[in-house]
Amino acid sequence: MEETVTIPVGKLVYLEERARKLAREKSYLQLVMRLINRVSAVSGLDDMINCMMRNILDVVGGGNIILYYQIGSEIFSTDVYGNRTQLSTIEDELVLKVHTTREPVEVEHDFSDTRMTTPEFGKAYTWVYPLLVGQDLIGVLKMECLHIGMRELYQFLPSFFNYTALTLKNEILSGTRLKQAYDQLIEMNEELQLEIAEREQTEEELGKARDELELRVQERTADLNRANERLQQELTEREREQEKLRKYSEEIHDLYNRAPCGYHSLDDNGVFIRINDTELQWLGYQREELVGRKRFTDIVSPRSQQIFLDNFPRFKERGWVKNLEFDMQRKDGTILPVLLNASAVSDSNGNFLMSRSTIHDITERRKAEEKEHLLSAIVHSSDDAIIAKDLKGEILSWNRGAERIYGYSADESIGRSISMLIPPGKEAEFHGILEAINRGEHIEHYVTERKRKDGQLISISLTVSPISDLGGNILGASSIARDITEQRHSGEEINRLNRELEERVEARTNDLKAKRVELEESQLALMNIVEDLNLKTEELEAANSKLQELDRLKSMFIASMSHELRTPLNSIIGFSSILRDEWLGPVNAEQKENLDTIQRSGKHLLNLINDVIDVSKIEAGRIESRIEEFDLYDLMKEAVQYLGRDLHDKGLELHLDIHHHQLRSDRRRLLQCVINLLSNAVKFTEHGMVTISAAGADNRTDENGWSSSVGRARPVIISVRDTGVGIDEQDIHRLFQPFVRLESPLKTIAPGTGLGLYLTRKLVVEVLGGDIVCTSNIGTGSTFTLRIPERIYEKGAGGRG
Amino acid sequence: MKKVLVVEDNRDNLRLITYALRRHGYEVISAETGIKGVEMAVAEHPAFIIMDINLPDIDGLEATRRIRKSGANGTIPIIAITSYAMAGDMDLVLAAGCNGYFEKPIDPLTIMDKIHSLLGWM
Repeated sequence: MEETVTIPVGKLVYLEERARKLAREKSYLQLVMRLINRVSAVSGLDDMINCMMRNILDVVGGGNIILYYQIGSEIFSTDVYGNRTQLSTIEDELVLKVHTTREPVEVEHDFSDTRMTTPEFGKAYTWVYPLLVGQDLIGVLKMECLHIGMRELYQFLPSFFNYTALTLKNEILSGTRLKQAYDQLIEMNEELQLEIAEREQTEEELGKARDELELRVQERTADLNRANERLQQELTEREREQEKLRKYSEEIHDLYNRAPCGYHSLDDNGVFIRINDTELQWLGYQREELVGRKRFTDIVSPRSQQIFLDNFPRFKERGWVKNLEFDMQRKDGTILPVLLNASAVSDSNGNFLMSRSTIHDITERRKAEEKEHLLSAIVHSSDDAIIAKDLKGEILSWNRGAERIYGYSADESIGRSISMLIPPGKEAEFHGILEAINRGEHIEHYVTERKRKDGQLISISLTVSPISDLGGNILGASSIARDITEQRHSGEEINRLNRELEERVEARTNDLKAKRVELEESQLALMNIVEDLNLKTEELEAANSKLQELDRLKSMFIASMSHELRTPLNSIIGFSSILRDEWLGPVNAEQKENLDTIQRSGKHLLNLINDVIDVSKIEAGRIESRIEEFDLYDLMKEAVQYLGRDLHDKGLELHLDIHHHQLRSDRRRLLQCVINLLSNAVKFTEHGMVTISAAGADNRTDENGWSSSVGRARPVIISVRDTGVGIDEQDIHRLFQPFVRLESPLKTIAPGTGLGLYLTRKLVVEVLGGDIVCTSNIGTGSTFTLRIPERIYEKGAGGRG
Repeated sequence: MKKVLVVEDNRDNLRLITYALRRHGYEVISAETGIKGVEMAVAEHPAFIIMDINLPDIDGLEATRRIRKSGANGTIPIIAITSYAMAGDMDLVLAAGCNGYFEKPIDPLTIMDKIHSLLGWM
């Protein structure tokens, strides 16, 4: 469907005009958008202002553009060339006007006088525009020399200006805040610096003061130390003095208390006022029991009380007393004999204050006196004549015995020479005695004669000893003489008897000597016999070792012969068996029987040789054993198979009781032993059965009285029982000896080497480490049982392992 | 007919073994020294070898080692004949490369059972 519209021309022109205007306005708006975008891409106040100015210039062209703006209280102006100036006041009137009114202002210029004379652009104007954000004036923009013709475009700029105002405000604000913060920081920093400086100063002053103080302290300390040292020295000296004093006092005290004599002091009334330890110890009192409590007279014997009472007043008068003996009474009642010396202490007026007494224990002296008394009593009462004489022989003492024996009284004798007793003819002897005494020798029981007062001669036994003083100087001699006139007669009889006895002893000794000679002779004979015997023994030993050597050679010989003997025998057996089995053609019955004989004899010989070789090897200690793991069951089976044919041929029943049991032993030797026992059983049994059993045994069953040779290892027991001829009990022990063949009805028909059981036993004991026993009854059969260790380790086996 | 090499210096034993082997259908070739035995083993390719240990030149163990080294006969079964006195040295026999052994004396009636048992042909 088509519609035709008719439009007047004027209206068409208007519409065209309007369309163009709209298109222009659109491009203006796009321009403003670009401006805003450009400015918004920039940050920082200065950069933002520069960017804004440049873009405005780009759009408006014209002359200069100046932006006035305020930061805080300061006013700045910036032109398009980037020149920024701080202003004290706004001098531009137009700007000031806009600043005040906050309204934009336009002022037209006449440019007729300029070079720009294009009619369209002939006029220009200046535009001052306030940058406002709400009511806040941010700045004032002055744009000079704008072209009137571009006004249509300029009308779109205020929205850009408004945006700019907003951005400017933000930048200024943030700049201002930053600055404020910075200023604050600076301020604070300055304050801090100031404070630090102050503190440093203070510290320095403090340091100085401290150093000074320290110096003074050091000085004072040094002073103090010096003073202290002096004090210390003085103190040490004083202490030394005190120590000296103390020691001195102690010494005095010690001297007083522990002196070897007693000290005490008594007051006017004879009461103790002081007493030393020694005296207290002697008396057994404590100090406090005596001092101030007891009088001297309280602790002396009644006799001594009298002595004190007699002497004390005199002592007080005279001021001293010497060597008074008192018997003081100890606390336990015993008597202490003392010697007392004392001096009196008086005041300046001569009044008695106290006594100072020393007390000496005279117990020893008393004892000595008593002993002397006793000795002299003994001497006096002795029956023997006891005489003391000086070196010249002058008699010093003469006891009652001397009076009795010699007839002189003491009064008659003392002071005279001892020579008055010497009978004529004995002067030399007398001088000899005197000289011996001078040399300090003793004379004991010297029998001699002396002359009595009545002139009668008497026999005496004389003992003379020198008398020495304490320094060892001989002063004289004491002689003790006994009258032996009677004794002498009986002494002669004794001497005779002694002689007789001696003669008899001598005779007896001679007898004994003769006997001893005889004994020695027979001993010698015996020794000869022993020597002979030793010689014979040596010969025997030599013969014995030669025999042993021969025996060893024999064993070696047999062992080395084994190969030579067995090789041809093997051939005999081998070839005869080929013939016998008709490998090479048929043989008749007689030939067969002969070949059987050859074979049987060959086998017997081979067995014999093998046994002999084994025995000799064992005896030569060269048996080889080969230890391996095997099953007992398999071994027993093999043994049975070996003899199966013979069992079958004889029609014997076989009963087996064998079990699997792992052994470690010499399999080959054990097999040999079992085959030996089994072949014996078959050989000696005509009817009945052979029973074979083999199993590991419990250690506890020991009813057969086994030797302990099996040791700690768990044993295995193998037994072979038959129902054969049996063995007489008394023959059983001979079974295992070599070359023994028991008398038996079967002996002639049962071939044997006589070595089988001997070898079996040897192998069981020496190779298998076990033992074998036999139990048997004539007519009912035999049982051979061998017991061997379950496991042998190389060390236990003979030969090489 | 299978060929068997018997290396044995004792002629009696050799004859006994030969009888037994022939009876069981084997062709027997023989050598009386170790070196000859090795040569024949390499040249004749027998089915198996019976090797005595005691030989006049090199012993059976050394001969076995040489045969094993010869390459062509690396796996041929070799059965050693050992003497009674060698008990305990069987490890040596097996170490030398023998597959098995039997002990003297040679019983012609039972030897083939032993050989077959050792060869695993029973």
